[in-house]
Amino acid sequence: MATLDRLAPPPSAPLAPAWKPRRAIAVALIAAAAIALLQVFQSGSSVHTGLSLQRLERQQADLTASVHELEAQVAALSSLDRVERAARERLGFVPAKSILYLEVATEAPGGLLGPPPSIAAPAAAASESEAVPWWRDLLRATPFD
Amino acid sequence: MARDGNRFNWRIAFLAGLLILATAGIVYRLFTIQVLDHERYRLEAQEEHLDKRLVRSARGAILDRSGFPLATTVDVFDLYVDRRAWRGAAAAAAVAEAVAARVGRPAEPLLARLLDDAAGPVELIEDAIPFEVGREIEALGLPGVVLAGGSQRYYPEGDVASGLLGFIGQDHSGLSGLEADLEETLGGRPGALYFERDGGGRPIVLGETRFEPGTAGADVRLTIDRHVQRLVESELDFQIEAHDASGGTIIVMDPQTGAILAMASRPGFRLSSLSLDGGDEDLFRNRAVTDVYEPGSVLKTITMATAIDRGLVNPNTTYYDSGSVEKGGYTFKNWDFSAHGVTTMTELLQKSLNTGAIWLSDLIGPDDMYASIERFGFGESTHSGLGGEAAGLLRTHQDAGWYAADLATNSYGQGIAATPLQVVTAIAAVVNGGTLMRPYIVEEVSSPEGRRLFAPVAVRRVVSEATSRTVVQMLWDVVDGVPFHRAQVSGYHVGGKTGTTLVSIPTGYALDSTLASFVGFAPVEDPAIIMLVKIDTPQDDPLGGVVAAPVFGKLAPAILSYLDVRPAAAAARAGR
Repeated sequence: MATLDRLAPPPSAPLAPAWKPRRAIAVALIAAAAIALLQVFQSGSSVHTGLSLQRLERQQADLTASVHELEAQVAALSSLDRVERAARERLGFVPAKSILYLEVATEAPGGLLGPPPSIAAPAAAASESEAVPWWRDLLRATPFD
Repeated sequence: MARDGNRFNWRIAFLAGLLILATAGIVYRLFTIQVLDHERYRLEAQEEHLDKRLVRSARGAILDRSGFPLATTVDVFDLYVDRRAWRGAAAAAAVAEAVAARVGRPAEPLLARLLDDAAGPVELIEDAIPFEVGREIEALGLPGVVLAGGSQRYYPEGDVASGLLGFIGQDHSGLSGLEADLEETLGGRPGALYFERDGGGRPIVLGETRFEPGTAGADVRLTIDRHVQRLVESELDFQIEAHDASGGTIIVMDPQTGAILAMASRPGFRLSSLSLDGGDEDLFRNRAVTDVYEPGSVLKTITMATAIDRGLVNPNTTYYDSGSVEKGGYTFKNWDFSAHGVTTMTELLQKSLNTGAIWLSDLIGPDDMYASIERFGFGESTHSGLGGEAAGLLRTHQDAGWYAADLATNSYGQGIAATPLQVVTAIAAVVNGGTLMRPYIVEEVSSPEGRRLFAPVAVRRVVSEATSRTVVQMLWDVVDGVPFHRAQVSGYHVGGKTGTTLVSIPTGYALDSTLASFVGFAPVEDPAIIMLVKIDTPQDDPLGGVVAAPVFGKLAPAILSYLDVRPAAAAARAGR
């Protein structure tokens, strides 16, 4: 005969895993280490960026100084004193004692640079009188054309 | 007992009330400090902890009208030594040898200087080292060597326009000339470096730092043309030497716009030999705008223009020149004590007759005469923007101390004082169609924010166009109508008027010293330039027609040709 075992404990729910402080401490340590590493990486990255910035700023300063220097050199090379010295010493020029204005009877060539070179010039368009033979004109005047 | 107890309670209550009041006062004060005045105290605390160092911005360049730099800035280094960094003489010797080789100086004197402790622990050894050389020295990492970045003004055209440009001081602020006048524009706004400092004022390495960038100075393009300026300065120096004169002024202007193409005055300073040790202060001013003189017969042009504009005379009107005139108890004679009888207005100007100018001033009357002189800009600054510009001296019939004789002397340019710039501006108004233009020297300001162009400013109409045309014709007759006039220019039609005045001294006039001047313009058909030439106290000849007019005759063709102004014949054929 089956009997109910009243003394037997009722079936219970599965037990929650026991709290293990060591595991928690390890997790906390790992998290702390990760955070610390992150800080280190961030600081490193920041320092690296700062150094790069410094280097670039220095490069920029150098280039700006070079630009100023080159501009000054250009100015010095094109100064009137230097141009006059070169004209006198290298080219043998002397200041004009008087200025003469010459009248040129012929028409000035068209354009600032004068006539274009023949090789680049477009083929001259023949005038109508040249392109059409004389007999054609004559024919035009007659009812045969 | 009960009464005692009540008295005690009253005392306790009084004390408690006092304490509450005091506490409330303290709380109120704390509230005020920490909440209401929070921002003010935060800033004060910041002032205490933070230090500020100004970082100079790059100074703008001064360019001529074609954009060529007359003054620009290059980067340099200043080299300091800190002797505390050396353990012995060997380190100093190494520094001296390395530095001397790069800056091009002998090593021994430099070493002696480095070892001389009398100058203190830190000393400036070399300034304005070229940028590349400075970087090279910096790369060596020499102990005790500190390189501080800086800048230096550079003048590609050398001494050209020295007096006009002026100079800057060690703090890179303009001290004279355009450098000072345009300081706000050229200097820009300095940046500021804020850093946290310790109790001793030293920067804290890991402290808070903040940089507020400044604004670079703008470039200023002038109306001055370097070629014309150089021509004018070189001719002025030559003439002063040739006539053994004490100084002089030449101004070249575009009469149509008032743009100043060249301005030179002597005595002055040279940028290449500038000395700020004292004694040269008198040379630093631009005499073309700061010094006044009596314009003399040049002013007869204004008297004539006024009379013609009011319809009182025309070029053919005549008067009788007896050689002398009585006015206000004084006798006035012509400059050469001559008498010409019946004389036309054109002849009056050609012969520069004082009696004629006085006759005209009588016709005009003091009211119209002084109103006209003032309308031509005499007695007030031209507002050109150049520093130290004088207003001139003009005493009218409404001022105390005026005598009837003053109208007579004023009519031929004496008893009235004006700057050379005022005189050339007034005559420009006569020849440009009758409009007084404001003289200007800055054409354009260009900065990263943009460009600002300065347009010519017409101040007011002073005479009608018809009057202007008539006077131009008469001034043409004064130069080209007189054979062998020394202001004549081959190929161009020239107009102008000479002036010769005695030098005024506190007791009257120095009878043996003159100011010889000439104001001329060309070409007459459409004036492109007007030029004032003034030579001070020439020793060989006193007359403007002999000393100043030839300077115009020499400079004008070179300037007109450079400006591509056609000669008269070509212009006529072109239909002008």
